[in-house]
Amino acid sequence: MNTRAMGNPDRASLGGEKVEVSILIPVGDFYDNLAETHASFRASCRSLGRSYEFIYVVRGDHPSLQKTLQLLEQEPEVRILQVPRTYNESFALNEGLRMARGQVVLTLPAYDTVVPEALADLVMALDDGTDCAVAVRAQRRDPLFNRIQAWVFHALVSRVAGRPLRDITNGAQAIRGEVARRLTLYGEQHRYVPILLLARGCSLKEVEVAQSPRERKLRMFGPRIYINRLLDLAAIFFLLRFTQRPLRFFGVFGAGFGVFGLAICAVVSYQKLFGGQSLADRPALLLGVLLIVLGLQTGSLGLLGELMVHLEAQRTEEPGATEEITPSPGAGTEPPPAGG
Amino acid sequence: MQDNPEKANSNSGESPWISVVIPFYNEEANVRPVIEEVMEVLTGMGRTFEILAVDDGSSDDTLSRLRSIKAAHREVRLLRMRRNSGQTAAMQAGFQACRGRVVISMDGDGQNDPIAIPLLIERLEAGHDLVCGWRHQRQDRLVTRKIPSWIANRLIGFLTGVPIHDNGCSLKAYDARLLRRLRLYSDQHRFIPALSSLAGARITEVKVPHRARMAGESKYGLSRTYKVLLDVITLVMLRSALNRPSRAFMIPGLLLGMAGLLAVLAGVVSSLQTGSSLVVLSGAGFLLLFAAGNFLTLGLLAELARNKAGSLARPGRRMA
Repeated sequence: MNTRAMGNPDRASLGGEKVEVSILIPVGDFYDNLAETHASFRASCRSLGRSYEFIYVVRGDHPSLQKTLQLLEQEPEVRILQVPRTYNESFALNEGLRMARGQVVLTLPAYDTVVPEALADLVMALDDGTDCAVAVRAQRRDPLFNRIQAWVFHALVSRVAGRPLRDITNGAQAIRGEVARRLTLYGEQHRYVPILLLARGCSLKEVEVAQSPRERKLRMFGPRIYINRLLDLAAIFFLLRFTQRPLRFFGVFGAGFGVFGLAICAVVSYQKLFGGQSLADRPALLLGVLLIVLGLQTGSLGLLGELMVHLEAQRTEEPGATEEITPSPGAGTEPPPAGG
Repeated sequence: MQDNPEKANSNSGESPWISVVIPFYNEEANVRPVIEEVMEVLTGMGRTFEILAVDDGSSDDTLSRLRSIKAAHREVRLLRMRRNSGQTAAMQAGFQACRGRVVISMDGDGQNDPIAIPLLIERLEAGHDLVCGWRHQRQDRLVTRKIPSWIANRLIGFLTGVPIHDNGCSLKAYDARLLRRLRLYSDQHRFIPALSSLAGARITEVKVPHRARMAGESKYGLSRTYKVLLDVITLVMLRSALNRPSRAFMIPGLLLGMAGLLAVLAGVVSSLQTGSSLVVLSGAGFLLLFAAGNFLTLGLLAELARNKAGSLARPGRRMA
């Protein structure tokens, strides 16, 4: 593994014991005053009265951060992992999740989005057995443009997730440890963790928290970023619905293209053969032929997909899709049947 | 029933002889009658058994009723899908958890009469790995259920080479060793005979009684027609591609290529003889040639995918 742990990634002081809360903070391209952020999160954490650890996953070299990091690693509860820049954010989050030992894993952004007090609310939201609690910034006061684009984005996100999600971009979410450690993220999936958890049947709730008063920056991006987000969502939509049955997707589109193309070609050929209309300047012919080709190719990609899925299914089981309800005396919610 | 496990499952460490897997999805009214009926039949057989009830993420009272039944009967085991995952996933979960040497699957809607279970097991022990129920005098709607199902069964039988009359009947008996080599996903519960045949199983069928729904609503409709069609195409592909992936795609590719060449040739000849335009025939020929190229390269990709998967636990018959 090309990662490098600073400090003591497996601190003796924690003795490999379970801690109650793992706070996971990926540090990537954007970060605000890290020392200050850490101090306020730590204060909030202490007030919670649970054992905790901080995990910083630092992606890339940040000379300006070295001093802060050296200070942080003096603290016994802090573990720092450095990963090279060439790995993406999902990889960094993945590594962090593998390191986390807490019963609850709380991911927080390295920049200001929510107030530090939110931390306690999120952790406590899992006390009733919920698998995941996502922070929702209430009464946002950042620029209107930010809020409008967030609204549009989340309208799409809700469509893909199949239930309303109001704010998955603030980076603050608490996940039950065993659920979090089973996640495997790649690509841009770190942004869509709540959707992925919902797809696995995890229970999720949204917790309203105050927005950090320091989050005032206008977040306007280049067109590339917006296009990327749309493509991410399309990929996740596909994965959620067709991972086990690619031909349902490719087959329908392929058949549609193919039939349309055949119909065009049939009409054009009929007119040529029986109507004497020349084919020479009929762009419809070109369209028809290309549609047949497209349909054929789409359909056969679907077949290849089915083959791959089938081969993969013979080797693996989907983790955590079921649970056996183990015997426990008096577990029944109804009285035992009378006719015994 | 409670005081009747005899020596049966008193020793929970020992594997039962029969496992019955029953998925339930929003069947609160049927849970108790179905399980009790099954228990009665199994108890009468005098063999050790377990019943695996799988709750497929029901939104009604199904789960809590299952819990109370489970609390009262130690032969009942309860699995819960974290979300509604479909009948196949629920059945597969049950198959993976069951411990019996003989496994029975059936619907949770009460339409399968468990009275047929001894008969199924008898046929299984006569030297089969899979015994399929064949719903006799099926009690369903004619136009939306029975006719489509008749067509589908004929089609599946013809295309997969396993002429079973009733693929859709959940009441089946399996040799547990067969199940260990099946991994069902998507909506493959409809194709268990065909998939088992791929895994080398000896298959037979038995007529079983069928009843109208006791209570609750049917979860099926005609909307699944296109899904079944696409799934059949997948099965046909798997049947040839699992063993010889490149050949499975490249033979059709070669045939298409030859047809394409012939079409182009015919176009040229006819245009030389009659002076007619080349475009239609040669255009069709080019299309066929393109299709050929597509399938030839796809065959190589399939070979690659198959190669990466390593050995599958499914060649020939290794049942003994």
